Amino acid sequence: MHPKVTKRSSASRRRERGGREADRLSALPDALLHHIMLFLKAWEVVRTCVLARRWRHLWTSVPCLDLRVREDDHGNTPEDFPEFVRLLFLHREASARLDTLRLRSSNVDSAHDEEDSRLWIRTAIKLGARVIHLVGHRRDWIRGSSLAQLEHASLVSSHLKILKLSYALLHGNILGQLSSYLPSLEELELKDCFISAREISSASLKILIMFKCDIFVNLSVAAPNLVLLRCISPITQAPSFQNMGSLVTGTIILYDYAFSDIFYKDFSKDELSETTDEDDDNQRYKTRHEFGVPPEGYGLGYNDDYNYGSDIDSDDDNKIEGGHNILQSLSNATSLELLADAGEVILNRELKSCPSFSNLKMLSLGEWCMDAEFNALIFFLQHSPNLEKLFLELKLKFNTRKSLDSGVKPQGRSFACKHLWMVNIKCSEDDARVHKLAHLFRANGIPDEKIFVSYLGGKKMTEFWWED
Amino acid sequence: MASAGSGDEKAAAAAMITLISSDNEKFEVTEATATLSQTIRHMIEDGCTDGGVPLPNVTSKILARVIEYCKKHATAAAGEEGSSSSFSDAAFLEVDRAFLEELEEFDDAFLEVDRATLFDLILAANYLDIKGLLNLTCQKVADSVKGKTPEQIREMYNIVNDLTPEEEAEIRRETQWAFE
Repeated sequence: MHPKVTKRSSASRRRERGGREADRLSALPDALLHHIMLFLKAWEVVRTCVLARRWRHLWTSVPCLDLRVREDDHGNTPEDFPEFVRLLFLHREASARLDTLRLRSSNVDSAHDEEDSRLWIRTAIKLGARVIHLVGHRRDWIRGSSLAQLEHASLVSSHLKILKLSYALLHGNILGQLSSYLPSLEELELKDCFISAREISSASLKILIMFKCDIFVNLSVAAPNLVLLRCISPITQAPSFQNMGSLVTGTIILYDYAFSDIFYKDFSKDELSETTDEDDDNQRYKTRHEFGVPPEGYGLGYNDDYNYGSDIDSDDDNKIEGGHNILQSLSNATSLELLADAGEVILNRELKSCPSFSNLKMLSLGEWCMDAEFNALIFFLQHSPNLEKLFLELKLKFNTRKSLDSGVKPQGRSFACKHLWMVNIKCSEDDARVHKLAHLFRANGIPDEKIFVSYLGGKKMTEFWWED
Repeated sequence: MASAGSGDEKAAAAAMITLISSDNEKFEVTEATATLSQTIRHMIEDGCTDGGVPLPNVTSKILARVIEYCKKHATAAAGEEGSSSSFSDAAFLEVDRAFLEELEEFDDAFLEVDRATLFDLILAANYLDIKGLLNLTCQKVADSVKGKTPEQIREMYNIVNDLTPEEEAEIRRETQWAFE
């Protein structure tokens, strides 16, 4: 991609002079060595103390402690883990600020249990922690592992800004009164959590991320100051939202199949076939990819083997709950991404009571807006007067024969998006709908030069050459 | 977010910034590229970029690499103009997955540098306050020491053990709880 850069000259010069290359690592300032330590586990950090004098006390003021033991760490971790953590906290420099604690609720091999992890959370909070990331385990009766359970008592802090929970069970009123016990909380990330709480309520919250959470009851989100919302593939029910007037960016990915009974069976099977519930956010982009590309056969793969969505009949529609105000609450946003398969129930229902999106500049829509008449798409274009960029993600392997039966008639289907300067259509190569779309845009004053088509399968973006 | 030319209209209209390396080489970059650096972003906000931005701590060789990184990642960030800058990292939309993969490949290839360059990049990323680049380069160092013994780490980074055998034994005794 780019030439490999080598620095032979200066390196060899140094070798000539000193016999060996300089120790650039130890020469870094403390803050940068601590930054490197962000990506190491707590025991790896402590063990640097024997490297040289420079390293002896560095670990005692490290701002991030990662206590998560991964499967492949076994044999490498301190044997008496709770004792290790106790001494780690004990020997830390008293004046050093602890910024981040990452931990597991318990360990599969019983090296530590929930009591230990609660104690560590309390200790971290006492030390002024700003970020806590708690990871439980995928529920697995055979191995006896379980979800992380939160309790109010260990989570009272005026400093905590970011709370990330994975594989946690959230029940009762644990998320209802966030403002009272976590008054500074700005970011809440719930990943693979099981939620039986009825409310998420916080006046300070700015970022809310819910990724593949299983929501058992009607969950209502009241976060008036939210700036960023990502609600990705909720299971069983979609959450409902109260007014979010400050919202700038919203991503909603819904999948009707996840709301049906059949899903649950498949889901559990899928989950068990995966071997790991490791949660390692150190891996670059991993979260981003996960948000966008759920595992095969689940999520937005638009996989033809599972042709649900459009096939869900009206009887099932009634069973799909939640998602109230999901579009209305996004009406002030600047960027929106709304992805779902064809015939998606909640978004189509909510669209009917939808206001206009007067701030919207960037919009990404999925297959659910690509009905034969493009009704949903045209609705958005008519209600987003300031739109600048539009992304359309069409289902791959779309059955083109079906789609060509009815043509879109431009009459009465006009919209005025004066600022729209880019339409990006992503589809499979034989998808004839791009021509219909181009026709629609052309009829509304969007010339072909502003329309870009990228064919999935090939990575490169191709400028489309229209046949007529 | 579009990778091929589709952002040209906007980019052409964007202001250009001149960056000047320690060895006095000038680099012309778009504001979108330059502002991946919080340091430069603040300078632009304060209106003190006329006549170029001198970067006395960064050589032309390293600056060229940093700009290469910023150019690539600025394309990625282009989708969120208008969104609050403090959340720019989280506000990334999933509109182009293929591009994200491309970005990841770019990062991997970008890290194929010798150790001296890697440390120069860490220092430059820190000085210019480019969070993504700092994380990328620091993680590369962290990954390289994972699972290594102290001896192996010393060997790898030419760390001179200046502890006397007695001192080292004492430290090991004191921190035995972390080693066993």
